[in-house]
Amino acid sequence: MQTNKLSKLFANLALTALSLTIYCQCPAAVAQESEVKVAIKKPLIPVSKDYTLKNGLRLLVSEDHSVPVASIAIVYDVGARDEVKGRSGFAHLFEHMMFQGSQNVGKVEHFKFIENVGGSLNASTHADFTNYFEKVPSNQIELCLWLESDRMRSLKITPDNFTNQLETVKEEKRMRVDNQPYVPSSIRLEELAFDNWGNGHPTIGYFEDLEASSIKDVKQFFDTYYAPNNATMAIVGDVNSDEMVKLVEKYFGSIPRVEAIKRPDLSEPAQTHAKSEKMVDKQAQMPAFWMAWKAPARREKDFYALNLMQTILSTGESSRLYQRMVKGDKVALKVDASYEERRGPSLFETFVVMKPGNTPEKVREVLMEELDKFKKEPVSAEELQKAKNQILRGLFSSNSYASLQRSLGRAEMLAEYGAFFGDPALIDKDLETYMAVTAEDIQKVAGRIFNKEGATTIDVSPVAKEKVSTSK
Amino acid sequence: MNSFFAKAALVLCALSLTVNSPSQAKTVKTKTTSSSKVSKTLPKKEEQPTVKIEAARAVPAEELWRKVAPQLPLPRPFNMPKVESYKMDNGLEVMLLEDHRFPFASINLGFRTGTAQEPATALGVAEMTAILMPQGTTTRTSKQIASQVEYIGGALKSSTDYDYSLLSGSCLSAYSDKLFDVMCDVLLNPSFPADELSLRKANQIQELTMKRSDPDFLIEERFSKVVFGAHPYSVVSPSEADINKLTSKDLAEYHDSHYLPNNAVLIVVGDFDSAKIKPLLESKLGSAKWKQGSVPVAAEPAMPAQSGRKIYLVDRPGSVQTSIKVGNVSIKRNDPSYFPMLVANQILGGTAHARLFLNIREAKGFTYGAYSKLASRKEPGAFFAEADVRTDVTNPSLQEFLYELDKMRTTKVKDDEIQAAKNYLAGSFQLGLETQGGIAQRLLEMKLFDLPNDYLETYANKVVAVSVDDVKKAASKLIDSNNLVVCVVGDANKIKEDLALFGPVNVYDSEGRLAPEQTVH
Repeated sequence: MQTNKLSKLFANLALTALSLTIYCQCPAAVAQESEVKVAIKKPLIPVSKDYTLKNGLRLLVSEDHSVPVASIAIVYDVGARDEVKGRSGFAHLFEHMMFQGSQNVGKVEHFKFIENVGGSLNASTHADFTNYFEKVPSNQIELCLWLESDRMRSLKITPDNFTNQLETVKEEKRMRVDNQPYVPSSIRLEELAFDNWGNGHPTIGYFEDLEASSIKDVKQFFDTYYAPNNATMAIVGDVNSDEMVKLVEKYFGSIPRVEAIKRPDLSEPAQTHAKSEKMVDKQAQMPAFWMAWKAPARREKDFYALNLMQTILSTGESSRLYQRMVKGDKVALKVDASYEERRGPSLFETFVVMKPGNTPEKVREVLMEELDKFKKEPVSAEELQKAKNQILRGLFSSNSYASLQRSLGRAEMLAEYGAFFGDPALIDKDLETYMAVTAEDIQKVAGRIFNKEGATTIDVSPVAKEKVSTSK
Repeated sequence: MNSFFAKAALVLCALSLTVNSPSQAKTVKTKTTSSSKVSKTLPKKEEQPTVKIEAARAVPAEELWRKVAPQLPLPRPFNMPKVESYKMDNGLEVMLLEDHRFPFASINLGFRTGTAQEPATALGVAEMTAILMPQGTTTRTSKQIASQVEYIGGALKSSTDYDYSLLSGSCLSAYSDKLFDVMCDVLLNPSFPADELSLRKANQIQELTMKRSDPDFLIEERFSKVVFGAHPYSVVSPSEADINKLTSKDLAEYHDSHYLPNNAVLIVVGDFDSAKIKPLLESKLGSAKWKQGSVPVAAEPAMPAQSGRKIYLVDRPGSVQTSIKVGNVSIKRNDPSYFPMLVANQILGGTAHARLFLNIREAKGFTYGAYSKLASRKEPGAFFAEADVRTDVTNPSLQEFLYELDKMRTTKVKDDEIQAAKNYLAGSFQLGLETQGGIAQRLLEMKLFDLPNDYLETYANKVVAVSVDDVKKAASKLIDSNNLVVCVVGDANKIKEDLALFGPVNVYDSEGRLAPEQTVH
């Protein structure tokens, strides 16, 4: 993550954003259906308190008393991209250590305290940030503050715990990466596509780096990044804002801030020559390929159009790639496009599992034709509206990552916007920006991104089969 | 991936809860014990410093008040949502639940028939019917159906499980009428186009080939075959031959005899107006449009009793891990001992501080996660414990599983353990009702498993009522490490000899074929 400059503007100021509810008619709904209007309450997530402690910890609260549930999310501005060469995977290994106890909380007790009240919890490590979160019955929110503050101020780091978590993380790598078809090649894709090691190395890390790390690294990592002025906290649900301020002051107020954190240079040169590699995948049964392009960071100008293109290409059965490659030409068994958006250099990735009898060269031509179509013809009003309505679906359905129905989804979104971009009001702004994207915008952005020189390709083939003689 | 936000392709978590990777989250936990006979294989790092690293930031004062967890106020009552229920003339049960917090709605049709009721001569027909229903009607092509649903910020899902089938749609609520219109067409007028069927058959067969490299699929397939025997719960996927046999006529017949109003429940949740939707339901799904009929009921064969402990090893050459799944037949979903068994499972392996997790992950470091699960169905499902462990600790891990199973059966659980388990079950049930989807899922569960109508209201009380003795009784009835199915997926060359220490080993290849020459006794 980049340094959170904007949040400093709010230091020591207690801002109470008015939670005015404004109804606006979403500019969406046009075309096809006559006169249907999607009514969207704004702000999408009303902030009832935006408060920064003296030590730099920022707190965002959104009250919602509809159900007795509350969620908390803490985003620390540290991710795999802050790692140094030789210590890949460390941000994630460290995240595991955060569950190993602190001055007043025993090993694994964090799980126990939260689950014993029926709550859920977890943490996740990304290239550009790490977040920790809990969802609990609302009377238990203070328990979360007690637990989170204890590990922010006094993580217990012992050799035994470290060895144990090192083994656990290695098992996680075996289970999720090494033992899964197509996952090792997806990791290779990012290594190859990015030119800067900080962006391209895997979040899960390399075994040799994991094994070379020690508890000294843990201590140093903790001291550098796990401080209040490198964290943003959001609490959403059935809570009282003023009481949250008091409690957060009580639990976090005495934790010292750290000095400004040095960040690595993450700049990426533009790609001028296509790159490609071939890989054999022991776990795969069908040939496949990945193809990726460098892409803009979150909230950059081209970000919104590219996200809509991702939707048009591969969200739902009516999407272009599914209709063309799975249904029409019948050359693919599975096809996917994904935008791996980060706060810095990002990737737009496509993945195709081919049906037997096709060569990757031929299938890639079909894929490229579909991408080129964006440059040649403007998308129809109806198709664009469909994509925009799918963006709305992502916000309002029950189970999506960004679901506003879930208090935890709202807490994560607030904490991320607060930490990354400084201002939670940008959530509403972003929705407006999505809705304002035109067919012309898409055409231009496609022209800037989808070119042959900028592509990185990995061809994946299964091991040739030798049949073991067996009988029924 | 369509996101308002950024997401990493592979999200790495402390627990396998919110994973985005192709692998499935496993659930289990265990408690640290000292009595395990397994050698301690905790890898040691000799060169590791034992203490003393200079702090780069000030250590905060001790603050003694932090020693104990805060005393908290009583929970606010969870007001159960008000559901309006009625039955239509054709037998269709309707449940309506308005929730105007978000401009979204879902329409869920559940049918009380699934793959367990398929005739043995037409395996795969229930699933294929469900998949093909949205692939064409008398007036809409598959592309039109998908485009119309996705245009309204919607999604449509048609699927089948062992005991039920679902046709569920959701969309931005401003467009609910449109969604309902498309869903009724898919429900009442599917045409099962021949070209769509033939593509689906070819792709399903190729997908099956892909699944044969997936350890989760392989272990599920072998475990179900052994545990359920002749019962249809044993079928995890129809075979290539089964799939090839299916015709549009088979699907149409299956649809006409099973997708009937008197076999169904309709649950609408979200931002809609009940007064407006009722006449719409009557005009589109009333007896004039959707006639009741008799649903064929097939007798389901009994499940086998296991005697002795046998190992079923699926060879996956080159596998970097061993997947272990141990268990047996459990109980029906409406069995009176369901709640005691649910609590027992919770203590053994329901969360990240349960016994299996604490033992096998936190104390031993053998795995990323070890969990157990009570998978009750209309007929008895399975009770099992599972973990993916590194290959060289296959035997020690299995030893820990057996130790924990025995302990559940022979020893009473502690008061604080049962209290914690009950709190978790009651609390998480309520938290799950936060979203429209969460409520719809619980209501479907209630109707499709014929649970009492006060299921939502009484769930917490039933959990709280379970005693230490109830848990002991249920566990000793259901858990038996001596008569146990042990399934293992891994590199047979590396693990089969060692596994024979636990019982006779049958080795299978990834196609499910027994390799007699490799079997070890």
